[in-house]
Amino acid sequence: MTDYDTDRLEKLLARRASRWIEELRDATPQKRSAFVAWLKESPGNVRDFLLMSMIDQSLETIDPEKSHDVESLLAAVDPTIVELPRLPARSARKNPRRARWGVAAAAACVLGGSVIAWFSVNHREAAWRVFETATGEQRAFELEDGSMIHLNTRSRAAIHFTARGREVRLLDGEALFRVQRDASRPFRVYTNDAVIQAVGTQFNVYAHPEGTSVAVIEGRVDIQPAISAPTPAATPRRDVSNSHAQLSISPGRIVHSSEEAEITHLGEVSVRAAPDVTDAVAWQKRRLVFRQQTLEFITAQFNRYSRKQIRIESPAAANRLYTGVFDADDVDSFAQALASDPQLGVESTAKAIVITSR
Amino acid sequence: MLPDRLNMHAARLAKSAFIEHSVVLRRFLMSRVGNVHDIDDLVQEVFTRLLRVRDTEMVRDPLAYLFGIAANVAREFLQRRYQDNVLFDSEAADRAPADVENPMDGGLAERLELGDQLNRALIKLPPTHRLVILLVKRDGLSYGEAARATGLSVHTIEKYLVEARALLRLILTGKERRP
Repeated sequence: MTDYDTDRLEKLLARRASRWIEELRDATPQKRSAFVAWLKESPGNVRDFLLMSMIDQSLETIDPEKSHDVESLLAAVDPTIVELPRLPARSARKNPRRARWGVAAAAACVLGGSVIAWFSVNHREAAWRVFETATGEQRAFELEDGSMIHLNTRSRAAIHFTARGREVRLLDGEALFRVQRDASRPFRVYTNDAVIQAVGTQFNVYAHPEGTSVAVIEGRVDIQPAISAPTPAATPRRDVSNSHAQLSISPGRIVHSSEEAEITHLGEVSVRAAPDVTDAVAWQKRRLVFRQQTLEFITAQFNRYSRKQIRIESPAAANRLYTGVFDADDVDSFAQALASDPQLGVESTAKAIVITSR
Repeated sequence: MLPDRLNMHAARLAKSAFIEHSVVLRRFLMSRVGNVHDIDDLVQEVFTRLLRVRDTEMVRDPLAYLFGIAANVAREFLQRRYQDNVLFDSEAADRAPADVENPMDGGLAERLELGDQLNRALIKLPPTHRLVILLVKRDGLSYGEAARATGLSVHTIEKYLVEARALLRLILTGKERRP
């Protein structure tokens, strides 16, 4: 790992230990048991939490001479949370299936040899079917067992059903699964970070640059982190038997409805309660819901849906937090809403929207 | 989100479990911030003992278990060090028994030292992080009161606290983690 990675990891670990202190303030039995599970995961977690508790407790006696002046800090604080007006929903979108194969071909060219090889291998054996969506496109597919896959924008999934199991590889992007119960054939979703196994349930999986997010809307899923997920390019055929062996080594993490799990590339799983779990699937209605999220995160979401890309040119602007509900297809209205924030400069051209701070 | 008063009650309960065991533990940890091996040994032992506690037991009051076990291990480590010392250092032997039996006295210096370190680290925090720490920790405001004072939401206050503690930890142990 580079120094940068190490620093970033250290920061994540410290923040996670710190978050537990907040979580335990009004701990429900579920939270307490999640905490115990986390502690028992590794000595590193125990160490992080002990050090963090010690710091937290020592903070009670910080600055005994009251040398810090709260008033001047208060005067300087700029409440960075800006509540944006709720925008009216726009009616159904146009042109839903544009350029599907064009994009597939382009992606194959860009990704190069290994992908093409994988496609041809699987075509010959008729084992895998690939579904995908272009930028701005969303599509729902019904599978032979009655399960549904709803693909969000710029996403790709490969599907492989056998008598022993139902396997889906989410190669890119985001998908909502509605799974038909079939105890004899487990339904598994693979991403680069995890294997998510479902029993008759509804859940959303988003494979993003930082890891994989799983939101459970109904029922429960079992998450097996990372390393065991074989890459499609490497082992396209023997996955089912492989994953059986790997899954039996250790039980995964159970995630229930109204919970969200985050799986990092390092295979770390964190689960949190998500009372607003339906926000995670608002994309189905082509809505984007944000609660105090950074502009950086929000623009990344808009950029998934639109060819017109938003670019942020100042770190201060990227870190501002916003709350709001938006139409995923209407990036221009979002830009207009942003322009109402006096801290930002918004410049909109036909091809891009550039955001600076003032 | 629970009302502030309930929150504070829960926090007090958690805190009492901590304070009961924390003196000896904190003393152990703080005097060894620079010594990775000692802390790792302690943590490894605490971890091993934690694994022996049934989940159903521990879930009832995880903090009491964690801090109780950690304090016991720290006590044993301090005791062992004292016995090691006796063999060759009569001066250490004179000092050590009092330390072990009455950790309150012996811990004072380290407490002051940690306070010092934290005060110095506090200056390095961004202004809003510093403000939230001062309001909630130094001045004892509830999250709701701190939210009203700053114009931020309770959720954001929480976020700043989480972030501030994480930053302090990184500042304090920076030397140790990046040799």
